[in-house]
Amino acid sequence: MAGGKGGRGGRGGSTGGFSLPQLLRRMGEQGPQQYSSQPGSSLTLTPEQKKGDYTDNGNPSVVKWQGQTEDKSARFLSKIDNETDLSKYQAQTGDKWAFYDNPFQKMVLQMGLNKPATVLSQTDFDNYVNQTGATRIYRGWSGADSADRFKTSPNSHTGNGINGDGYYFSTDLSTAQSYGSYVMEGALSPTARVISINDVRAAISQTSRQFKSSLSYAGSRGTRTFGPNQGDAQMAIKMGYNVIDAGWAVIPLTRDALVVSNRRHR
Amino acid sequence: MPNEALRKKNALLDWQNEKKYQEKVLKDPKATAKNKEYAKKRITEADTYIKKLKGK
Repeated sequence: MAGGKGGRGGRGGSTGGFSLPQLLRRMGEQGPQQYSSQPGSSLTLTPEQKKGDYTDNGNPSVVKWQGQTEDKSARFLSKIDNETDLSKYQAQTGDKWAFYDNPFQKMVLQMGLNKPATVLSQTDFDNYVNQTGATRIYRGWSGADSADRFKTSPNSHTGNGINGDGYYFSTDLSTAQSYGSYVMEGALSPTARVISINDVRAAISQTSRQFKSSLSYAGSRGTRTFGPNQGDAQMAIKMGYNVIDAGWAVIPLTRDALVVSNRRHR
Repeated sequence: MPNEALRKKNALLDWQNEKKYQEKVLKDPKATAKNKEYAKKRITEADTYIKKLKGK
């Protein structure tokens, strides 16, 4: 197993999300402030959410990835690309949904980054947003099944996009609606750790040619034909973040970075 | 698993939204020279992909 102790066997279980009082407590006493690292960003974040200390609660695979040298990291990416059999994984975990073949999906499965989002009733969700000042973000799904997959699958199913693999949300409802008529409303959770795409790309540009190449490799079967990216999600996790702010999109990389409403907007 | 047509549609939307956003960055007086330089690069890239995706 390429993922080591924190991989398949060491997923650490799912937290099942948080209750509203827990969420409010964890958001801390300092209210969110404007996030300035990404020009034009409309996100407000707490000081905690700007820290680069994401480890998935000390997940050994994540900690190892973050501390690894670039050459070892490049070998690790190659190994998980070769060793991750998505169909087999789906069967083993009893997941009724197939995985979309993208490199970050393989990393998510090997590291066991499957903690779910916190799903709240619309009333509790509104209370969370109103009491913490968290920014509302939206995602348009192509169908009800995809939205259900996000909420109920035992595994995280990440998508592909031009600023890295992950879950693409927008602060603008109409933008989300243009992607799909089933719109999910969410906000960043207290465990979200946010980095701007500019900072991720600046960090990637400082790495070795070999590592850059491994990060941007779409995998033996994956494709980035329409949305090339540089392995931004993998790099963000390495830097201790689980959300990328791309300005036009907010991209949580793990589901536990989100609090979502259980209401289906249409 | 998303089908090819859906992926293409979403990619086109991604690039159009990115372009719109980077155009705003170019006009933003608070944006740094480095950010503006990156914005220009991304707009060029977006134009290439938008053309490619619309052409197919």
